[in-house]
Amino acid sequence: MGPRVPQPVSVSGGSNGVEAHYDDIVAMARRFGHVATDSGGAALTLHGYLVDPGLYTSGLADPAGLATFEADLLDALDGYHGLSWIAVQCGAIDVELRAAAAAYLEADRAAIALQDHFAGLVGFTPAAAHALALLAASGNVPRALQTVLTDDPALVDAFMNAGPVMWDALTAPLLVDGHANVADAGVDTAGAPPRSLADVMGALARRNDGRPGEIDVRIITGADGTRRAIVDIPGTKTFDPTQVSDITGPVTNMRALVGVQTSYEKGVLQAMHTAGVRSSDEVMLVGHSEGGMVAVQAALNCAKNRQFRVTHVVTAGAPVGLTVAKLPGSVQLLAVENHNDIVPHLDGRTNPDKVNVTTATVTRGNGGISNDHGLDESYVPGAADLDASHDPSVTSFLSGARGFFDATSVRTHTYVITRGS
Amino acid sequence: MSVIFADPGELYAIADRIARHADAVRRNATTLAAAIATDRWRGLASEVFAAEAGSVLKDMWACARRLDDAADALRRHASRVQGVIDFVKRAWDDIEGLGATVVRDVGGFLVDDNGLLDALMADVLEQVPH
Repeated sequence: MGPRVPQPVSVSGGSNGVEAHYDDIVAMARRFGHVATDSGGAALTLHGYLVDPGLYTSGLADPAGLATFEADLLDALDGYHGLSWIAVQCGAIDVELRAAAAAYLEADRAAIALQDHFAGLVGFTPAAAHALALLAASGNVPRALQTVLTDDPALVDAFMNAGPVMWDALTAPLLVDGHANVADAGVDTAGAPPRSLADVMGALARRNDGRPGEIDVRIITGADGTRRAIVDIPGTKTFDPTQVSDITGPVTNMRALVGVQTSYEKGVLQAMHTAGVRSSDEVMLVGHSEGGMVAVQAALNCAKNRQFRVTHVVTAGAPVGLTVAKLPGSVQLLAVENHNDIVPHLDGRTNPDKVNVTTATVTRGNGGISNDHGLDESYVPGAADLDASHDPSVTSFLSGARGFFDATSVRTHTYVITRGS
Repeated sequence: MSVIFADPGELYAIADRIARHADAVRRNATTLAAAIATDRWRGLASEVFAAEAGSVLKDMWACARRLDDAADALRRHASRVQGVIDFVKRAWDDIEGLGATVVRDVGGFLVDDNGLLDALMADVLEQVPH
């Protein structure tokens, strides 16, 4: 489980990410634009008073008083830093801020693209040195190769960008995915309503220990009677393409990676329907690895067809960089990635920095590919690190999901999804 | 009166409208200041922006004061115009009053019992041959 004391986390995106700041800058620009319009209109109206005929005839009675007023008003309007100048300045700041925001966003996108292609090379030398030292000491070649990858998982991004992702995007829609068979596996009476992200991740880990395709639909009810649902979607159980009935196999992985709908996703939605999740219930989808990709795709499709109201998605060690940008603002996503886990890099893309997409990188595991990707070893303790984190994006996500953490009762329906041909 | 001689009520109304524009400028400055204070944008560019925005805010507060000054100047002007109108009215009333007195006194001198008119009539009647 690793050390119990919270480990540092690094976070991108979310309410404190670049896009959020970009939105802030644009909102500020809009405020200055509004003041520019307001001030310009006021200056025009006030100029009109200077040529009011009634005002001129009043000068017959008090010419000096009229002259003083006109001089004061002209000074306020057109004098040094007067109202007209303020209108122009506010308009200029509006334009400058919008240009700055656009430049920021463009620079950020360029940096991410650069990182996806070359970041792996930066860490390659120390990773290779570490692996060579290990090889010299133990002569264990597989262990040395594993060390290179887990020390520098960004190498996987560079490798995947060199062709496999593009190949997958072209071939995935052609892969035969059959259809989902959903079998009711009964009600699991163990477990309490979650109180933290670690509890949510713990429940996913528990379901992950079950049969291939086994998922949970947990109906939780708050003190005020509000119903919500948490759906646990475990990841890959087999890499054997001949195990066709295993819904978690390579076909689902290849399709979900590039955002093609899968039978696994259809099975999850069918299970939710069977469990009695209503279209008005708030839903949190929680997925590990392949399950995370399926969760994102399900959230995307639910946002389109409104079959279910998915408000939150939590992924653990899932390569969702190719699909997550399409999530609408109504869906908040927390992508938890272990620093040494290579699986989140299989998409070859850094997760986009969006207000509703928070990517939190935790530092857990022991340097082995399987261990660094494991729920019990890396992601459950990593979730506890996030519970203890003060990062604004993480706390914002968790406070937004509070309704899922203060339920008074839970009923866990379990289903097994298999693929029918 | 408003065309030939300005209506002070209208002048006061214009002054109030100018003061309301001053308040609007102040409100806008307050809103912008609050937004800038809670802004999370950090870095060199944000410092340049903060300096620029701070200068505009200072100008907005100053401009609101200058508009208030103009409104006050117009109110003083309206008050003086009102004074002139009151003076002219009083003078007119005085002239009217004086005219009435003159007419009454002259009339009384002419037509009262044993007045000038009676005496004249008596002289005329004496000279008429019976």
